[in-house]
Amino acid sequence: MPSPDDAVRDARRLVTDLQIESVLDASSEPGPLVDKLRDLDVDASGLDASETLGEPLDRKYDLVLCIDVIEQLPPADAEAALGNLCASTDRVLFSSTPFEYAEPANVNVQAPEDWSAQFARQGFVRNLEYDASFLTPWAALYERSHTLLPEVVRTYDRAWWQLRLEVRQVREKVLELHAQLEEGSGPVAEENLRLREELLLSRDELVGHEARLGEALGRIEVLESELRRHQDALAEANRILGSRTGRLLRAWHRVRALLR
Amino acid sequence: MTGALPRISIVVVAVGAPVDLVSESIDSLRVQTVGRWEACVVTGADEMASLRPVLERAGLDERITTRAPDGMVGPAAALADGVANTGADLVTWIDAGDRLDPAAVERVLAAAGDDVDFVYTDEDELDGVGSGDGDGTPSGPRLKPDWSPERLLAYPYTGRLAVFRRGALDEAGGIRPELALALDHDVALRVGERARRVAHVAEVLYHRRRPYFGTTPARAPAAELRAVAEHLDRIGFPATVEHDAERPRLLRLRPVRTAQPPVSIVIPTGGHRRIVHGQSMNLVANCVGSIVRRSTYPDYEIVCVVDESTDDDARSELVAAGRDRLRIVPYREPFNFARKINLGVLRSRSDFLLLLNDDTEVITPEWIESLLMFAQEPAIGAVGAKLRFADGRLQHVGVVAVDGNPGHPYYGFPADFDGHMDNARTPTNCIAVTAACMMTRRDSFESVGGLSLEFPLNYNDVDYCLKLLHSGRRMVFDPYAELFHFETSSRATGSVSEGELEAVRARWGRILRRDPYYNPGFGGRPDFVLPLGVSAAAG
Repeated sequence: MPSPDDAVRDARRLVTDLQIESVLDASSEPGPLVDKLRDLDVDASGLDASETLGEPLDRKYDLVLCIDVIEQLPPADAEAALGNLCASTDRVLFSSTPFEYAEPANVNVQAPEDWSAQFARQGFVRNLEYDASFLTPWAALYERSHTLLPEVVRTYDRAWWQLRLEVRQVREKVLELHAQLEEGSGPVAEENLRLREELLLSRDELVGHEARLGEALGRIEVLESELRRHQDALAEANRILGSRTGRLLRAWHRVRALLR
Repeated sequence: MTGALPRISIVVVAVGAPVDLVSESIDSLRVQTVGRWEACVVTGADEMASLRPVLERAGLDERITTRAPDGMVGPAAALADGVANTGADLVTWIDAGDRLDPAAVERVLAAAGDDVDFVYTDEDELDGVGSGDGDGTPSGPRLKPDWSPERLLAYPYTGRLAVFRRGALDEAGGIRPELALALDHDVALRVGERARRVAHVAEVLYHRRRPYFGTTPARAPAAELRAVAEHLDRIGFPATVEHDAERPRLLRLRPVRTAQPPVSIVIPTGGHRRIVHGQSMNLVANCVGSIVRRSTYPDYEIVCVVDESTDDDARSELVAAGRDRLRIVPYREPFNFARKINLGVLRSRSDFLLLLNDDTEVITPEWIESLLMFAQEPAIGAVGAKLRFADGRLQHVGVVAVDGNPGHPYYGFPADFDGHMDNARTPTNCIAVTAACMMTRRDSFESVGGLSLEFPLNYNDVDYCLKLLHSGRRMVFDPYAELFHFETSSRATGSVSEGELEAVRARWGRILRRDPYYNPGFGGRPDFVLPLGVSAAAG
């Protein structure tokens, strides 16, 4: 939920960037953004209590906001809702978390590309020029498009290879900086590394001693139980020898010896 | 409380079962070596009349009751009714026709200490369908590992006999009849996830009869998925579940996209070349190239710890393969595999470490996601992959210790080998996994002191995992992350140093002599091979 300050900033930005006069916020509870847009003389509204995303809307808007709401609808309902929203506008500013599976209300978390595919089925394509990341890192502006496939591919591919190049350059730069840093901080970094390695070794040694101690205790336990067993057996033998049966047994042995 | 010794309520599910099968089960109860049990036979109202005389034929026994609940819908609902209408501290259920070993109750009671909420035993199967058919001799023992939470995720390995502390069963939500044929798995998952302790009696104490219901399917695919999906949801495990495409009788887990933490892949190398797939190859360049080309995971760095002796050609091939993902850490000391790994880890940055040998090659694109799916759980210390020789035969599916010797079960077995109770195909817990491909968390690594320098070449991975095991963490073999491992045959057989083996035994002799995940019923035979004359359990 954006703070009021964020809402002011976002509202100004939307009005300047997109030249909008009417806006529908499709969230279940339209937030401060609707108020701030109204402050800027935009005809902004949330859904009426009577309206649901499951039914066609009765008017057109310059822009529909669909922020952090669609993932709470089951897949079939979400698809119908997107159809209804797209029918009432040519532009949808859209955001849906690709990560928050753990949130119980999010019954329909999908990857951004899966939502893009759904918009494409409605004839809407991401506006690659527009950076909506001030809302969320995965927010996108989808627009009704009559562009043919080769042109769509050209636009996407331009963005794709440029980003790819940029990522690579950035990564290389990071590696370079890291190397410089290691070199620059030379002795300190080496000392730090040496100490961390020493810590590892000490911990290993400690665990190793603990393990060997456990082994020794285990062996003592085994020997003790062995000892107890022998003591029990000895006591049992003495008991038998001292009993009447024992005496009879010994007498019988003597008789047998005499008979031989 | 009367202060009496604990007893077991045994619910005999006899809905639609021939009466002679019911009496076979009951007979197996009457001969128990201890009498601390009560049995409740649950059946259909119309079956009651024929059942009673059969049960009383052998004399009245007040420990045996019968119930025919109203409006009965099926065996699962009958079972729930039976469980609800018995009263002993411990409760279990058997199907009519199944037999308990005479010592079953005695052994289970001995294992069910005060803090134990769930006890399971080994089992086998009686031949023949219904009494009179077949010779009734047991076959196909299912010898199980000790408590293995990750094994249970996608595989109902605990099976029967499964005995639950009644309070724990109730707290977990009791029997859910709608889960029907996946009911045993559902209950094991729910009780297991909150149990104080789970005990395993490594003896075949349950003899299962093959299903006698001609019309009942052997499985309930939708219910199986539901039981597991709900468990994953409850424990917050980042996966979905589906049926395995290659083995539809098995379930498989798929990682879901959650936060994607950065991963550091650490590869020690000397830049060696070897013949692989019929070509002479720079091993590390091939390995790193396969990571960069095949991995779908977006956020990783590769840290190669490279011997100083490595020639320039090999070095530049490595750099070309790793491009902007790669960082090279020079290694100038005498050879010590453990030291090289430790150094690479210290120079890397991420919280998740993936230790990898340079003679490996990625097969499954989602390997990092899959290893992470397990490694994100703090109770899991290390996750290993399914490693294959160049021709596909198995090289590693987890480490097992037999008589004090840690080793690789199913080494060189056929590529599609399933294993005992499918343990080469489903996630399993094991005492250790090989560091040829191992994911572990940095906090785990640091807390136990990394790889020990006492093991310069061999067993440093086994020792590392046993250190984690000793600290209360679990290891997992992940069959969904597959790589080739072009291990040399000389390293596999010849160069294992006795000194290192002795050192690992000096630290961990007890655990190596009694691997909790290796059932003593295999009699010390490696590869989970069953004693002669006994066929293996499938499915």
